[in-house]
Amino acid sequence: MPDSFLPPSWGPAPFDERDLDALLSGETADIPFALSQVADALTALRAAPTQAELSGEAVIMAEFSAVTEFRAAGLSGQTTAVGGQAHTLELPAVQAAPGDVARRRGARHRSRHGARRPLSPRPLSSRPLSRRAGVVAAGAVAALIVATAAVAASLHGPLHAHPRQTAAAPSTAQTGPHGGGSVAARSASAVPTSRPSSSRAAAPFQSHPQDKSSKKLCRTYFGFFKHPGPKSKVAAEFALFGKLSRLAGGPDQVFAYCEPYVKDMLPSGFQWPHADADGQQGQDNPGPGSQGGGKQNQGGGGPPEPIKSASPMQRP
Amino acid sequence: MMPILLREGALCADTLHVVGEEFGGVLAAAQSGSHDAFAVLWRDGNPALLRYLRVVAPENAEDIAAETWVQVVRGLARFTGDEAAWRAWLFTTARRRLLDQARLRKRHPAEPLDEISAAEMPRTAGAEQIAMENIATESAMALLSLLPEQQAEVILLRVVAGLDTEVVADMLGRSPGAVRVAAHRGLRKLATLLSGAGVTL
Repeated sequence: MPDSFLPPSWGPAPFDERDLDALLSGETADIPFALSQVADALTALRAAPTQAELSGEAVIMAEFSAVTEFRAAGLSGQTTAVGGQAHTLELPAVQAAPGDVARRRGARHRSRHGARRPLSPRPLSSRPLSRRAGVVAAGAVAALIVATAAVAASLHGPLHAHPRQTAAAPSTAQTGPHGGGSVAARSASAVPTSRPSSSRAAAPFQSHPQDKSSKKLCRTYFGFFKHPGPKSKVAAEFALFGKLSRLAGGPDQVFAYCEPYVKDMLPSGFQWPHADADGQQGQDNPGPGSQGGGKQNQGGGGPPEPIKSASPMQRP
Repeated sequence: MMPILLREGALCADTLHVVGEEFGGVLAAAQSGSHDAFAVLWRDGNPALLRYLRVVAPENAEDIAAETWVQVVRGLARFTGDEAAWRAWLFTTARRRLLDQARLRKRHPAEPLDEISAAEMPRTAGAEQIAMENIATESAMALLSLLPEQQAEVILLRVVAGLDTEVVADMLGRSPGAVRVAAHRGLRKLATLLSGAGVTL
């Protein structure tokens, strides 16, 4: 219970918020009497400097002289890096390639799980750059996947026709498709023919057999057999075989087409299977489909059988 | 309660706007390496800085002030603005150093040395006189130390540093309205403290 029933004060408030604002702004005129002591206290806070407050001038002037000399010597950048507002040496931004971005992300990942990084501020401008580069890299990968899928779809027929012709029966063109084949194999024509559009695209290559891109394609394709890679490369192998089929005029002609480019990749004494006029493999050089279940470079005396694995469908 | 001693005639002295209209020229000269110009800036800012720091960080106010000035010297060439912006930059830098020191102390707590008796304190010829001159300011700072920390800081930044409410709000990460309310509450509390204490003018 309160000591008195009377309110604590009577009459208007001695000062209002405008008086307080005026006091904070340094105005001392027309200050209510109740705030006069507060005004005096605030004025004392603004009083003239004392000797103690000006005693450290020599130290800071020495620092100022050192910085000025640094700057005069043309070392302003180093001075900024040593202290100042920026704790991080700002390097010029370089447009990063997607590979660089991936490498940089890896390093950041390692550092996050390894030793804890110090709390040094990183230039903010580099963060949007890395994000943008990451988005660009992701877009490039997505575009590559779409393009690969499109190429694989366009080569659907020849790719599935080839194994039936090379691995299953060398005389597919004469006997027709096997009844037990896959749906894709059955739908494919017995004698693969290049599409009109692909033949038009292949024309420049055929007119220049020594073309570097043809050589590169052949060497890359046969490189798959020389150095078998993971299963993830099978799709690329399919696509490459389809491209070579179009360039060579058919899957049967791929080996003849690539022969001049990949001779050095094969063991000495290797006999190439040449296609005859009907598109059949020569009888003296057994075609790829006529080989049994042998392995490449198998046995001591016989020639290796790269043709056996030349069909992408038979690779593991 | 300790009597508050305020100096008569303190109204004539002011730590604000010492440089005044010549600030632009002084700043340009200091940025080009003039010692005299930088000394003017230092004499203008250091007393207010020390008074602010002695209230909010009484243990190591001088250290923080020195670190602040080192930072200011190294970043002086890049500073642009008027005198108000200069003061805002100076006190913002000081506040950052203050927070750094607080974090450092939290991680590496230091044990204080033994107290030095008054007889062993170094004495100068004018020590008593200096003490008498400072007593009003020191009393006012002691009075502010009785306020809650945020109210005292707001009043010091508004009164001693001479910063606007918006600048103080930006510095403290609060809204201008909150800064204004804190300042008013602090002043009201000061009035209450002074009315209950024996004040000698």
